[in-house]
Amino acid sequence: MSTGPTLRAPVQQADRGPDVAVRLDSVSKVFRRGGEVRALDGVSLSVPRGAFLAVMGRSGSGKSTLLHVAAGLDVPSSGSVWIGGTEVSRLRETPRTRFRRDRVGFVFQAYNLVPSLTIEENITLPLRLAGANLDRAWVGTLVERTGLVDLLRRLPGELSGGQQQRVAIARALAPRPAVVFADEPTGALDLATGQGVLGLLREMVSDYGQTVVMVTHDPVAAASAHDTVVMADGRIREVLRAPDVEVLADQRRPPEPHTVGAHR
Amino acid sequence: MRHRLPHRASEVLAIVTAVLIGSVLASLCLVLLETGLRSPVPPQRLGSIDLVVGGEQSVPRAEDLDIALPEHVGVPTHLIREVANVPGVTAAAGDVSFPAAVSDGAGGFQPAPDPRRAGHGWDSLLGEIDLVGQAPRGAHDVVLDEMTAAAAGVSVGERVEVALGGEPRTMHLSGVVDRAGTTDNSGAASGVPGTILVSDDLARTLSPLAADTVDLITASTEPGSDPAVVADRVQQAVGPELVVSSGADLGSAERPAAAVTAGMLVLLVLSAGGVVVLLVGFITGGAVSVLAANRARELALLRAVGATPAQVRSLLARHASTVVLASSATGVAAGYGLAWWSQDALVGLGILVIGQEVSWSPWPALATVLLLWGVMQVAARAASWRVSTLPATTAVIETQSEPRAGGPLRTRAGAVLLVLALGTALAPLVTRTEAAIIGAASGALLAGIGVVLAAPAVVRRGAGWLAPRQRSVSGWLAVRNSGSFAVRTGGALAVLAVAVGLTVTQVFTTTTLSSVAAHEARASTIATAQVTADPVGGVPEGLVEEIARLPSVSAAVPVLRTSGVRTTSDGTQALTGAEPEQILAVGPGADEVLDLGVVDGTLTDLAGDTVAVATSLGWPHGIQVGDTLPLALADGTRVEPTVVATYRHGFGFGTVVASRDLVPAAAGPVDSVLVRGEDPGAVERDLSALVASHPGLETSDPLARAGTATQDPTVWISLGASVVLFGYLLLGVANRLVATTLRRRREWQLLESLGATHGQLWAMVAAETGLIALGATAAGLVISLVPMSLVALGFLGTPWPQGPLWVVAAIVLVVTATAAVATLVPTRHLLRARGALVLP
Ligand SMILES: Nc1ncnc2c1ncn2[C@@H]1O[C@H](COP(=O)(O)OP(=O)(O)OP(=O)(O)O)[C@@H](O)[C@H]1O
Ligand SMILES: [Mg+2]
Repeated sequence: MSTGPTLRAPVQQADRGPDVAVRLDSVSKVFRRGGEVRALDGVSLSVPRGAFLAVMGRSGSGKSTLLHVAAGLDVPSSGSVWIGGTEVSRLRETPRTRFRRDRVGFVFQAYNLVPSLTIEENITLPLRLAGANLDRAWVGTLVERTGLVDLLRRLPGELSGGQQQRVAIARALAPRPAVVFADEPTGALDLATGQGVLGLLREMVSDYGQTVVMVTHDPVAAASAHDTVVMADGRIREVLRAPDVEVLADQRRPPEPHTVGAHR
Repeated sequence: MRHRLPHRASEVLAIVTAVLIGSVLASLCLVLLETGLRSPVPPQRLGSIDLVVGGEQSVPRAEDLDIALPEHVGVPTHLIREVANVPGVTAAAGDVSFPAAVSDGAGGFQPAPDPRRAGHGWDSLLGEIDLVGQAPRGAHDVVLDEMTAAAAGVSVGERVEVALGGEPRTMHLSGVVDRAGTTDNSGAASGVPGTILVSDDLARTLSPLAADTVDLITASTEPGSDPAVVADRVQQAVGPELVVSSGADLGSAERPAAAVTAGMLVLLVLSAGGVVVLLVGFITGGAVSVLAANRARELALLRAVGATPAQVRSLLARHASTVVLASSATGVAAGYGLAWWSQDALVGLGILVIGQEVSWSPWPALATVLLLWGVMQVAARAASWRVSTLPATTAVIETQSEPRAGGPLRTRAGAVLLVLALGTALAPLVTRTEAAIIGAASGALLAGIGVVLAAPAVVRRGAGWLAPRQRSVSGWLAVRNSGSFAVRTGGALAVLAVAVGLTVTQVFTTTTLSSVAAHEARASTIATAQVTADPVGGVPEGLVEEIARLPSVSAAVPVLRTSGVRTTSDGTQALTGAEPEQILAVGPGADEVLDLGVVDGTLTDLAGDTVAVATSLGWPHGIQVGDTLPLALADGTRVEPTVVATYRHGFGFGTVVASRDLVPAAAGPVDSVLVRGEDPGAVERDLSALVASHPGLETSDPLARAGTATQDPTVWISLGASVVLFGYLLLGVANRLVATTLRRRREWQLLESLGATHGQLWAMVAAETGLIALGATAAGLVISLVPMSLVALGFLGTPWPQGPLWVVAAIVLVVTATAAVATLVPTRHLLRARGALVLP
């Protein structure tokens, strides 16, 4: 089993081992548009291979920003981001895109399927863009696991929210990425459908050793992950190892008047 | 929210440019229309005359505008005395004209717009002119204006070389008139032609008119008398058949041809105006629909929070209307400026007569602003109709995706129009008339609308076929996008296709017509040479016989160009729908110099009251050999000639060839003499010798003036207009492409988040643009070149469209460049401006 995420302030060479899937070193992200917002404030985090990590925290605490930066969709204002052995925060736009489409899967909260393409075309689009060979067996397995076999010829507009979210997951997994990031994948779904989607992610972790980082507001969802990182004001406030639902539900209460000190 | 700004700016810019240029064009058209209808013709020679009596210069036409007659109808000579006897009239005189020109002091003659009518009798001025020297009394006296005398290098009392009635003469310059007193300044500044005045006795003998007729009667009134009252009395005296003019009407009485060219301007504007209004609607409408599409989500959300459908529609209409009012006002100002600037060009082209000015009034401005405001209101409401009437929730959902394809009804309507257009294109194979060519050309407009309607469905199908055949992912995405947003793609493609199609059609119609005319003229001219004398107003009668007597010449036939309109058999009015026909009046022996492709009858019979008729006129109207053809000639003379032949080559020589005896004006010098001889070299030598001894005479290839279509000034105007409209259409498409490209920010962000590189996005956009340009070019060329090829096949027997290929190449290039710039520049802007790929 995994060793769980670790929080470290100083960068240690030793941690850049083969077992670390994603690592953030003192990452800050400042948005300067319309006043300065420090969305991430010196976050350090490493996610071991095969981990299923949940990220929780109040709205505006920087969860989505963390995911974007960690996935290479956005670059940090300072600090560095490593995926496997590559420092993605150093890569320029095009190499970063190439790296990302080969190694990172991203599931958006709003599905973000391409409306003009069929479900099948949507799932294989990243592979096409990468010019990669289609692993038919793998895609077949994914389609079966996500229960999309009968929907392949349809357009996204003709699917329900839960179905679309499953397409988004299949799409993220199709290139066999090193890490899958999912931003509130169950946010718009009803309880049962949400559970289905969570189960799918969990299976990927348990059956294929897939690394998954998932943002969620739902304690039940977070409980299905191994560990949970709790964010507040752009910092990691706490790391909960295999917490149960009650502990997680507590995280949703307003924070105590005092702030959590160091991330240690 | 910086990324929103360029969207809005581009939307507003699209509407502003569409409205601005639309209002420039519309106001220019309206100003010119008003000019054609109302601009007074300034008097020249008769500016200081009080009253003028002339004939009725028009032929009424059922259900249509009267037809203006270009030549003086004439007044009975005996009425001069009766006018002079009217109480209040101090003097009256008859006015006649004759061909005249003045030497330029270097062996040639001074150029003048109408040498055929440049000479006049002195008495017609009634002494109301500042004269230095003596009035012309004797048969050798002549009076010129200062400018002309100076150009000839002579002063009062000296000898001056002139040509009167086409014959060179040496005259005595008895006086010089100061013309500043008789014409307004603008007239003098633009170079009013020379005044050539001789004694009335001489003028009478030189005039081709019979002695019992004068062009006009001029009269002066007693100082202090009421001109209106005197004019009434004169009208009583001359009877209701004649027209008494004074003041602002003097000019048109003096120059009846001005009314014809003014009519030409009106027709020109009306024919262009329809297309202008169509395009203004099309392009401003397009700009508004882009605005509506961009704002659809906002509008839908407004509906969701409780706005009524009508509120939503008028919100958009108001939003657009404020832009319209501001930019159309600017456009109108520019349109007026352009009209002012085009004044000289119109005079140069002969559309306005010298001294005539553009009419100014606020009406064109008002009408233009109203037109554009109305177009905008309708377009804004139509564009927001769907989103405003849907249930609020559906509206919000619908606006997240664009409409995908036109309905089957739309596609079917497009197909029907395309078939109809093909039908009109086949007409030239069946009938050889100018109407068939024009019909084929207007078929292109029909086909254009068909393309607009059918494009989305065709694009969808085409994309479905192309998609699996794409090797690169960018190409594949481009094809899939084009197919999925078939309305968007098809819209841009269709407008570009219309731009290509209409412009190529316009250019090729003109070139095909003149090529047909040249072809027929070549085929039917068997004369080997032609003698003309344009600078002196024509070849005198005596010379025709002299040419005929040359040893090398076997036939010399005088030719005169005039016009006439078909009338009812009693001659009271022109036939419904009849337009003036070109008449070629020829002397005896026409069949020896012309082979008109006689179908029936024979040209040998062309003498006395007879005509031959082109089949393009005869066939549609059932005119056959032996019929009579009632005509009103250019000076209003009613004739009823017998048709003695019908012929095929109507494009080269006009639709009616008449015996010269039929045309009274033909008594004077002729336009040209067509000459034939066994040995063209000998003819050439003999004619050269003759020309050398007769100043003003010229010899040329008989085909030099045969093709008549190319000399029409309106051809250049309509070509110019189609270039402007082409530009306007392109601008409309460019606006649309910019706006739709900027709208794709989210789509590209998504693709990029899925791993598309900038290079791949560029390649995708370039492929989409290429598809649009290619499709537009193909469709545009099909709708224009198919009818033009059929015209060529029908008239010339070759299946190749007659026209310059470089025009096609240039148009295709411009269209492709426009599409490329209008998509790639905003693409660059989007890809540059964007930072992180943050999607919700
Ligand atoms: N593009 C941006 N420009 C400016 N500020 C931003 C931008 N994106 C995020 N922010 C700000 O950064 C902070 C963190 O935002 P983030 O989206 O990461 O929050 P979150 O934890 O995902 O919240 P939620 O649970 O509501 O999704 C917020 O204060 C937000 O307003
Ligand atoms: Mg978020």
